[in-house]
Amino acid sequence: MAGHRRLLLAALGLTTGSLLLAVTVGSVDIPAVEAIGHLFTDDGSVHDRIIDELRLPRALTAFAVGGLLAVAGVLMQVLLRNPLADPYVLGVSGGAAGAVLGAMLLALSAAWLTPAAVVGALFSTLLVFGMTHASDDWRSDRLLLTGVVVAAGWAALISFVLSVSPMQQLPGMLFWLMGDLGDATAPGLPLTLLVTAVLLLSLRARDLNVAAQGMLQAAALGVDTARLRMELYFVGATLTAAAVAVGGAIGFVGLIVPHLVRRVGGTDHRVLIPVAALSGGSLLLLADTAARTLIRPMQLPVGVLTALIGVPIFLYLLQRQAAR
Amino acid sequence: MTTLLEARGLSVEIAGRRLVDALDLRIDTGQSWALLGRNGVGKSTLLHTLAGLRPASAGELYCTGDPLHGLTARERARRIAVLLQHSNSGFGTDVLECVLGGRHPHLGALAWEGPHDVAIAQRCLAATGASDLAGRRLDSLSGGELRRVEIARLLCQQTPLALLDEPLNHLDPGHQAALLQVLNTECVGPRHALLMVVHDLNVAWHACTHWLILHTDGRWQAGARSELATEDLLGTAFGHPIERIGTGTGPLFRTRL
Repeated sequence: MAGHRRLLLAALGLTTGSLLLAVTVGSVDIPAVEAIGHLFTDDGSVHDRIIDELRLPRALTAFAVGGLLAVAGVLMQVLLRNPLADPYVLGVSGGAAGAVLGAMLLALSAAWLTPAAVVGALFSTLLVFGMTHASDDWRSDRLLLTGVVVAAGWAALISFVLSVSPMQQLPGMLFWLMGDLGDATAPGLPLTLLVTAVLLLSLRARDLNVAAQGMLQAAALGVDTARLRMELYFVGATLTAAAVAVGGAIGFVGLIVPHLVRRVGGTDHRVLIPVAALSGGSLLLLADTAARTLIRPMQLPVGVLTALIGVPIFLYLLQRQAAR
Repeated sequence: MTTLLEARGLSVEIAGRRLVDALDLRIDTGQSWALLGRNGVGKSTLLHTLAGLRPASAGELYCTGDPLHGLTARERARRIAVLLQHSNSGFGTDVLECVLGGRHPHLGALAWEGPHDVAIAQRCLAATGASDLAGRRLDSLSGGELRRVEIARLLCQQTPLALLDEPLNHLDPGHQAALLQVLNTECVGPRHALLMVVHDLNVAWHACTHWLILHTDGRWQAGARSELATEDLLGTAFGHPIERIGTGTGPLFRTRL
């Protein structure tokens, strides 16, 4: 119990630190004390406007997207009882990305991108889930394989859209595919969704604890597993869709963050979910801060950085796990 | 005496194949049942069906008088505990957290396990000789250790009826004997009963009062062990000659090799 509280406090500390860093560094560095002042007062100065209109909205958006991806990862991993599962592996992100690129190709306005992502993610979810459900016994390795194949299908479709797209649209599409928060300035929706999801999932947290022991075992311990599976898949898909619609195809957050939190002792979902939300948010926020400052004034797509950070961490974790 | 589980005309099918045909079974308090039969005959599938974890293809099941499929999953888990055949180590959960899973059906959605629940879990760990494992991670345990932790979780569920699929898997002879003793005191009594899948006929005789034998063609036989433990019947059931040495209350069963 004490360990749980320490973990939650550490995650809160990480969040505060990364938010503070995100609003202080950039094309102009603003001292932390001044930056904190600007957060609470409004003096109309240039620094004040940089923080209030540019850095804070982007930071909060990055945080929300990272949190959404991490929580979606937790849900997918319980659903498949496989620590390698995440929205990307299962083709959920691919569906969202395919639909958004399609909408971009049709030159639909930006307002259509979120609905397109949601439709794409849910469609992909239904496809994977429906095909797996058609067989009598419901097995997670089948679901994982179906997800991988569907993801490959989406990747092919995305390549197709890219190859027929007009030249001037390509850079935008490519940036978006790599995961980019450059235009992300509206934290309201993703942040609300994240908070709502974390609160609602606390009702299901102990169900998730026993579900991590296998769905049949969870059923034996009194969980309505048919319902839980549906909920996990659809909540996971919705969170992913929101994250993809806002930030594009950002990988590895959903895979790595839950893994890391479990490693440091957060296997209880009552702690794992909020801590994953906070640290997933912080990780993406730090990555985004690095993405816009490392080679300034140029900006990198944040997805490049999460992959660069994520791949070695993940390989290291796998090695350590194999060595045990 | 109460009837904890009753099957009437229960048929179990898997992929169109009838494993159990019209089973009538009554498990009363104080009884311990051995479920016997060849590999692949459908013992686990029947056990899952009796536990309400999969639908039957025909027939009815009653749990303490109520239709089993009318119960919520939570209510069912407060009446029937199940030990699955294959152990599962989850995501690096620790042992105490795993055993506390047995309290799940007793707690509300937002409730945390209290000192009362922890005390029950620790008592169950002690009963299965697993107290010293309490702080370990599940994925660091040996097969036999994990089995004892899972049985502790089953005890922690504190249900009137326990259904166990090969509980002695991975256990050394000493732990097998100790565990049978624990199951007999904790899961059989004036308010408790159990049914377990076993392969060792000597264990089935000494640990159980009743036998349920499944045959490969869907036929079954259920009753007091003394009625079913004949060389003829066992030979048919297992498709291999089995010798019964000695009579009365202490026979020994030997597979002819």
